[in-house]
Parts: sequence; C-alpha cells; structure tokens
Amino acid sequence: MSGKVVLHYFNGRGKMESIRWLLAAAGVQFEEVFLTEKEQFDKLLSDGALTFQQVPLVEIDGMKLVQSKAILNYIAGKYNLYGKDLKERAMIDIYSEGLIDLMEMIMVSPFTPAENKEKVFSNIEEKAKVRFLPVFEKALANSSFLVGKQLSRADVHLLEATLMLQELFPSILATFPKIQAFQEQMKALPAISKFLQPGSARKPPPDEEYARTVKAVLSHLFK
Amino acid sequence: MAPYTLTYFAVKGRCGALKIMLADKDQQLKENLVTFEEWMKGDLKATCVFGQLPKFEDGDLVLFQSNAMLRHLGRKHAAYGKNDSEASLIDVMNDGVEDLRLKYIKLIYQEYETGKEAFIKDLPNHLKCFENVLAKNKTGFLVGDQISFADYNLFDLLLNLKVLSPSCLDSFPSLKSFVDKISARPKVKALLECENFKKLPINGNGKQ
Repeated sequence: MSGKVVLHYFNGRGKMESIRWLLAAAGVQFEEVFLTEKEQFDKLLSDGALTFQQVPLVEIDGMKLVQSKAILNYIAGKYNLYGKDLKERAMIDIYSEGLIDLMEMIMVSPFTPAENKEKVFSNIEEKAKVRFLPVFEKALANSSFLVGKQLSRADVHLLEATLMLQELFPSILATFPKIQAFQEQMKALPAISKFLQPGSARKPPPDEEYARTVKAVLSHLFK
Repeated sequence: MAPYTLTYFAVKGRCGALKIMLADKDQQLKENLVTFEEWMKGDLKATCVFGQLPKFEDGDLVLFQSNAMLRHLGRKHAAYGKNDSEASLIDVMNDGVEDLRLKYIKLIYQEYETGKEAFIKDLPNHLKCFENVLAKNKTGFLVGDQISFADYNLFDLLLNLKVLSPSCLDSFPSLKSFVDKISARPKVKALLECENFKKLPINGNGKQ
C-alpha cells in the first residue's frame, strides 16, 4: 500500500523531528500539517485519531499511527533501517532508546522555567559526556555503523542527537573523535546531505514562538 | 544453564512485565540480585550501557533498556502480533504504557507526598485510553487475538496502580476483566502467588 505520508504536528522539532530525520534518511517524501490552534488538535481528538490524546500523528500506508517510538519502529522496519536479524534489531533498539532519552531531555528545555535552565543544561551536558557519548564512541571504534554493516535508524538518531548537542555545547565532541568522523561520513550520504540543506523539512532549534504555540494548542496540559 | 539471565535490584521495578512474560511463556530465568551498596561501588555500573540496570542476557546477547528487552522477547516468543500492522499497533500500545509508567515513576520517586492525590485524580484520563482500546478490540487483548508484550507491560503497571489506588479500575470494566483474565493464566497465577515474587517491593524507595 502506498500513498502520501502526512505528518501532523507543530512547526518545530519536538517529538516529530526524529521522524522527519528518519523519513529523510530513507528518501521518503512527506507532507506536513502544522498545528497552530487548539481547534485543530480538538478535531483530531474528536475524529478518534489520537489514541492517547497526543501528537505526533503520522498517516502512512493507510494507518494513522501515534506514539513517536512506534512510528519510528514502523518506518525503520519498512525502509530496511532496522538491522538484518533479531540480534541486530535488539541492539538497534537499545541505542535508539538511549538516544531518544537524551534528545527528550533537550526537547523539554524550552518549557523549563528560566531559573532552572542553567541547571537543566548542565545536567544534559554532564549526562551526555559521561553516560551517553562514551557508549557510542566505543561502538564506533571498529565500525562505520553503530550496529552491523549497514545504515540503521540508530545511526540516524546518533547524528541528530549529536548535532543537537553541538548547538548547545559547541565543543562537546572534542574528546570523541570517532563520533566526529561518523558525523562527517553521515553528512556525506546524499539523503542526509539534502536534509541538512536550507529549505528542507528540518526544523530550527525551538524558540519562544514555538513554545507559545505548543502551550496554546495544548493549553489543557499547561494549566 | 538458564537461557536467560537478569541482573537487577531486588525490586519489581522495570522488570515486572518481563518476569511475567517469561513465566507465561514457560521460560527459565536466572536472576542476579544487586544491592544498592554494590551498585554504588560503581564496578558493575561501569560495565552497563548508559550506566543503568536492568541488564538482560540471552546467550551472548547482552541487552539494556527494559523496553528493548520486552521487544526482543516479543519477537522471539510470538508476542509481537501476526503481521506488520499488528506489530505497529503493539508498539503504539507499549509506548502508551511507557508514558503512564514514567508518570508513575515520577510520582513515586519525586512527588509522592505532594502529588499522590493529583495523580490518582488524573489517572482515569489515562486509563480510559486503554479501556477504549480493549472495549473496541473485544478479544481481551490490546491488539489482535493473542497476547503481546504490550499486554504484559500494561498488566504489570495496572497491578502497581491498584496498589497505589485500589479502586482505580472500578469504572473500567474492560481493564478489570483484562487484569482478571491475565491473572488467571496458570503460569502467571503461579508467579503472582510465588513467595519470592510476592515479597519483592514494587519500587526501590519503599513507596507504592
């Protein structure tokens, strides 16, 4: 079953950005419907499309999928970005879960009260340097890919996550040469290179306007 | 040698669903229990991906991240749906369970004294999502007509929530029936009645 892929989310990164990255890496074109008003969200709710009353929502292959990790799993499986066997898939899951944990720490920062921001960023930097990046540096010691001998969703997540970290902490990869080399190799892939160009569907870091829109559309969560 | 080995603290924590699933699938599990004192020494922590337990071994395959473990076992033991479409929906359900579990964990470890009342008050808003899915599916399972790792995960979380708020399922007949049905599966029943399992605290700080 084919047909167009449609993403329903805000005009910003959030939990949809990893989905945009993965679709781009797979060379899949997609359309976006941006939520700017609460009425749009309420309409999706009343249509029964949001099983857990949350976006992202992705229309793909005749399905309306929610839950970002589930959506990523489906895309990875469909476009051969999920390893060649059970063992590889399990390892890809481990790395992907960890990278999504890391990105979610960054993702919530626009909604952190100003007085807590410094502490939050310090915590992200510390965890990235001590807990996360060493794992990936080690995994890339003797390989161009995190798992197996071909590109997987874990590689795409690692590139996205490390670029996000560098936006916040420009020198954070200074002591991780393998990750730096990995980044360059990934950026050279045509589909990734295209996604990194201006004018692509890649979203900029969240700003005040993005935070305001999210709070307005999801006002029931920000009482 | 047992086919599977689990290294974790002496709590149900993030491994309740995994243990229930393995019991139901008649799989042997060897457990290495770690004390908090041992963990704080740092030697084991240094060997763990992302510095976290649980650690799960399937032969030479060493796994971390509890949801990665559940997915792996789901794939191995026919608990991941009959086709890609069912597998996707099972992922959706499991991620919904994880969202609620994270809220529960936050309550237990960060907000128990100040947030318990609000959490219990808000709980029906989360439970109704699963109630609707079960009521619509009519098989007693979240997706399709056979048990999946998402069912085990939801079941485990509901047991914890019933300890927190004993009446939380009273207005959710499908969820109540779901818990009763899985509790009655012979191997699950045996595990739930086993002293070693019963005596494990749910969480590491004694709060439940």
